[in-house]
Amino acid sequence: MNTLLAIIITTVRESIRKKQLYVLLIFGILVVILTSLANFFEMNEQTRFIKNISIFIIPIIGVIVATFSSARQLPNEIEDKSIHPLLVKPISRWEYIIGKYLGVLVITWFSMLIISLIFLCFIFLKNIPITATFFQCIILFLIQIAIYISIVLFFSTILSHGANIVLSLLLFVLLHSYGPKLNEIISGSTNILHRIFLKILFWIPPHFDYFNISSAVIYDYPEQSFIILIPFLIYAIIYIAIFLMFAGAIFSNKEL
Amino acid sequence: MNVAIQINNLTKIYKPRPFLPPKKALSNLSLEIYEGEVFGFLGPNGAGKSTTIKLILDLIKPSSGYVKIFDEKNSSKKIKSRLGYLPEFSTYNNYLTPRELLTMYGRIFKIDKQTLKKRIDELLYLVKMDKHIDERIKTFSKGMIQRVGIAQALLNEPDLLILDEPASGLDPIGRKEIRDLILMLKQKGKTIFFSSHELTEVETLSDRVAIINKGELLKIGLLNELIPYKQGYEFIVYELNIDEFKERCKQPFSSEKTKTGEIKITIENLELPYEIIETIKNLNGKIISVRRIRPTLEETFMITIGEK
Repeated sequence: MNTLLAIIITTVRESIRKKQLYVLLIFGILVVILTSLANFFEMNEQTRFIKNISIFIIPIIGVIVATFSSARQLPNEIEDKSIHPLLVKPISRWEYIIGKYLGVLVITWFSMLIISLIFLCFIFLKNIPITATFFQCIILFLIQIAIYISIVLFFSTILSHGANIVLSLLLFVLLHSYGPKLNEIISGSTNILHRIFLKILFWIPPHFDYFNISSAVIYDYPEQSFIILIPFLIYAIIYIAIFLMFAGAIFSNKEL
Repeated sequence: MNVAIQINNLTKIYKPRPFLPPKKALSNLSLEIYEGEVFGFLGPNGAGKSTTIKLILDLIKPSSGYVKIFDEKNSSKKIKSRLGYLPEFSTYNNYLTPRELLTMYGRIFKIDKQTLKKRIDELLYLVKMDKHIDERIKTFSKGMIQRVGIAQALLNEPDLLILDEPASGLDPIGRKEIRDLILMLKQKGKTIFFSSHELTEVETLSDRVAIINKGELLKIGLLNELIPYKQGYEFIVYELNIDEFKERCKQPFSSEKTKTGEIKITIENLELPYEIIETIKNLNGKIISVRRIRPTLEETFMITIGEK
């Protein structure tokens, strides 16, 4: 536990001391403020506009922080050899991977929660009712980003820093949209082998679109119990475990 | 004597990229380093020194052969907690301070808070970095980073220290401090395995030395075995008429003026110096020093590499 904590604290400390995080947070806060001050809509439309922007900005900030934090961890430390004096100490490569994952997760969630909090403050000040759905939406974003970080970390064991950033961002977009598109193709297909192949393709990658309940927030759908989040959590844990396992297995055999 | 590091038929073949020929970095290297000794590991650039060190430290896997440390697998956490390592190109997380870096490592070693705090203060004082304890490593010079590196290598009071070019980046005072540190650790019974290009340093510190080149072990042994004394003496004198000395001396000799104006007389194949000393005194010459001739490690190294 001490070992994991040491890696987590160092990862968070390093991220906080890099200026990129502050630039992103300031950008996010500015967007929040400008959005909230925009009063060229009618009241209902303005409420919808603020919710729309917040639902859009929170995961964007999360993805950017997650991508840039995770993608550079391994490749940079291997390239500058700062990983050598660390790995000759009594720490396994698995502990290193998990520690890095948790460190990036902490900093990413922290960033997303800061922006969420600021949005909540403005929503509260505008007397816009805050529903449980909004909190559920944020929780789902947090869970979604936890899966995403595990994917980026996995790629960092096989790709360079730059290649990882490009691929991960593309994948983030793809994993949001491929599900519905693939479903359409499957419905339209009559060939059984083709359908089986597409079904496998459908089920293997994680579906980020499942974690997006922005419509429920914007259009004030009826509130649901927080228990509905449990299957999403289990789904996420399975994928996180798979990606971290692959990352750990590759890194364990990596020549440094 | 107990074996600290056992290297058995270690071979490492790198396969850089597909379609490129594999590169043999190490070929059937076998070595034993004993507990309590200072072992110097020499070789020109690209000889396989860093590869050997990485294999010892389990940073890379061998193509064949194995390494054992204190008779256990070198990958075990128990063994790693007894090791200290100073890399050649010391780099650490630039955004941390020495205190934070050592605290991180200390947590990994499971050193308790109080002991860790005390040890960090002591070590940074030892390496003269106590005044920079809370400054970020990215602001440090190469020598300062090396000093932090030495501190982290000693944090867990290791039984085995592996130092890759320990004096790299240090000024002459720093080099002397490293030498003194190594000697102090040796007196405490620590085992030290170090590679260095500073042959005078290796000659001063090492009990045994190994020379490798192109991945193969060329020579290994005690310094006295590798650099045997020759039959001959060197005399540093002044106020001596060299022509008169030539007439009196029955032995062939060579002479040259030193930078400080004295005369250096070298006589090979001389069993004992007493007769020559008498001759010099009779000619009213003043003797500053008499030394038995011994080749330097550098000469031995160059001959060994050249032979291969």
